[in-house]
Amino acid sequence: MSEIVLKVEDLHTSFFTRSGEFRAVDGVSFHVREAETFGLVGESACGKTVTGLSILRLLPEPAGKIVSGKITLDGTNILELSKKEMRAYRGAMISMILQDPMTSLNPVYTVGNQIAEPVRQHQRIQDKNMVEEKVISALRLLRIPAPERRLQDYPFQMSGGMRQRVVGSIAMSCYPRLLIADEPTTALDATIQAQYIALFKDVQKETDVAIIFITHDFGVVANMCHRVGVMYAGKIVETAATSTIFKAPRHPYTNALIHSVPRLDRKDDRLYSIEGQPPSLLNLPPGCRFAPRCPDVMDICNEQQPQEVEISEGHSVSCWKVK
Amino acid sequence: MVRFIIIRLLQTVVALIGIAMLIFVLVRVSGDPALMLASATHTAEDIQQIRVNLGLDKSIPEQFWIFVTDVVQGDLGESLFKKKPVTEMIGAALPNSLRLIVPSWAVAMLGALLLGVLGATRRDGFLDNGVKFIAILGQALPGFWVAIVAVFIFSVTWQLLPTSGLGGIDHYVLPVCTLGFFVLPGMMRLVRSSMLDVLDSEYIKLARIKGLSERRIIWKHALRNAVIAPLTVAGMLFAMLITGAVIIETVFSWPGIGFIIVEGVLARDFPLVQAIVIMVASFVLGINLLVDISYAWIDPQIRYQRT
Repeated sequence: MSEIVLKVEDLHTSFFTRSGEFRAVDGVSFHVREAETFGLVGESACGKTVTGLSILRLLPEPAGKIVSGKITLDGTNILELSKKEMRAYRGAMISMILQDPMTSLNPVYTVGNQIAEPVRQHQRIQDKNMVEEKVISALRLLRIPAPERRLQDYPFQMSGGMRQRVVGSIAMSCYPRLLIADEPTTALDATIQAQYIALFKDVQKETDVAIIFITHDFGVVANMCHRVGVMYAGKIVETAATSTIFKAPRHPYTNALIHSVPRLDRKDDRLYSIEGQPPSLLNLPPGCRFAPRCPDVMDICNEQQPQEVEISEGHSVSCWKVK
Repeated sequence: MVRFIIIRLLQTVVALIGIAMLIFVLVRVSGDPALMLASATHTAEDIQQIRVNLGLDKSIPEQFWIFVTDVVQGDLGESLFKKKPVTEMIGAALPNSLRLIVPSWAVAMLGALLLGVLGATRRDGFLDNGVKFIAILGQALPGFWVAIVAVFIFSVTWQLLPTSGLGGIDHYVLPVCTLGFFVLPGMMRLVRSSMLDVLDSEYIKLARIKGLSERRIIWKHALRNAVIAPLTVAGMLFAMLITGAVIIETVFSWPGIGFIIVEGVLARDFPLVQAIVIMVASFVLGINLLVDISYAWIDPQIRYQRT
């Protein structure tokens, strides 16, 4: 098996506000291997994006803080790096693609300029032609047609799909070890989505980059991810290979999520939805966080938090029902 | 880009013609200069004769036509009282005004930019609060009062700087600072809020993800986007300074345009007032034109629009 690129162990990230401590990420552990895509799935505000930002150490200041845990990239605990050392990791070793390509590029600089920046910054190349070569190869990696002619274009001259490829080029320009993709296809329309995912599979094959794919879309998970972690209220409740998640989900939340995906092969009158709301991160229940909404709730669920149990190799679940 | 400039230039000319017509009519409804020129011994016929001599007996459109044909030939008329060509009077006063206004504007804009950016990047810190305090002061205190208090403190009490008039560098300090203080706070608040908006945007997040230094993020990625909105205002503030200079020039006895226009208005010196207003207007329009062009230079989306 290929080597582990990123290992997150018992990560706790909180936001300290006037009304109290929001435990956005509360004890998350997972790992990603070389050339592997790990999906982080869950509904809005479950802590997916905060997990991603924690790995980059780019939490909104001064409220957001990593309280405890360990994040290791190729054996280095990046939480122990100085600010300057961390900056050298960003864009070079770890990259991220943001959700909305319409707003994530700077409107007043050319595409070429924006891709060249990380190349100049991290690879310390000053020679103009060499930088240009790197920029063109980054554009080519993302299959942007006629890259030489795109360098002088401004973002507003491009379509949404093209812009998201440019964002991808920026992320891949220094050939990072880890790429965090935060719902990169949500803002794209369905056909472009499929293209973008196929494109990223190719990019991964060519570069062996490890990808954390943050999404709430199980269709995307099925297409893109090798393994999946299902997040609920700041915790990963179930981790398994993608096929296992779909065929044999063990956590009631995973099961409910998969049931909420509309299907073509069944004629349901109404789409299944989970009753209730996720708990407030300010005031978490003492027991299992999903207990108030769980169809299979037992007494113990409301009293104690379940521990993570590995039920088969690579398949872990945190649920009292699973022994 | 060339097309853009030509269209804006044409718009400027149309606006200028409109302003000329307006001021021409307005001074003529303000009163009759013949009455000011005449003394108590003049009879009604004498006064009528003065009007005929000045050409004021003709209809307003007729007078305007004569005025326009003169202006096109470079003749803005003669002051009714000083009996000197108004161009000569303006020529003597204008450099003095510019010597006051240009440095005031430059100092205020640079100061506003710097303080606005620093305020935004150290949000709610000591510096930011200081900046906000200055902004409130500057917007609440009237310019003439600030000027008088400054003269009292720096010239009268401490005797560090001259009280009034033209002279060396030391003569500039008080007028430039008080006039600049007129427009600095508004601009600073604008830069600060615009900068805060930009710093919150996704492309700044992406710049951080790229591993760029904070300095580069602020001065390259954020600043250029943050100055687009304040830039239009910077041009308008220059125009405001011309009016602000009327007050400051009076306080510091600075022999500029503001000084002579006050005299002209009080004496109903039509040619002088008309000439100054038209000149100031073309100045303001010219600045707006420059602002629009620099706007297009900073924001490529405007540059590429086919208007």
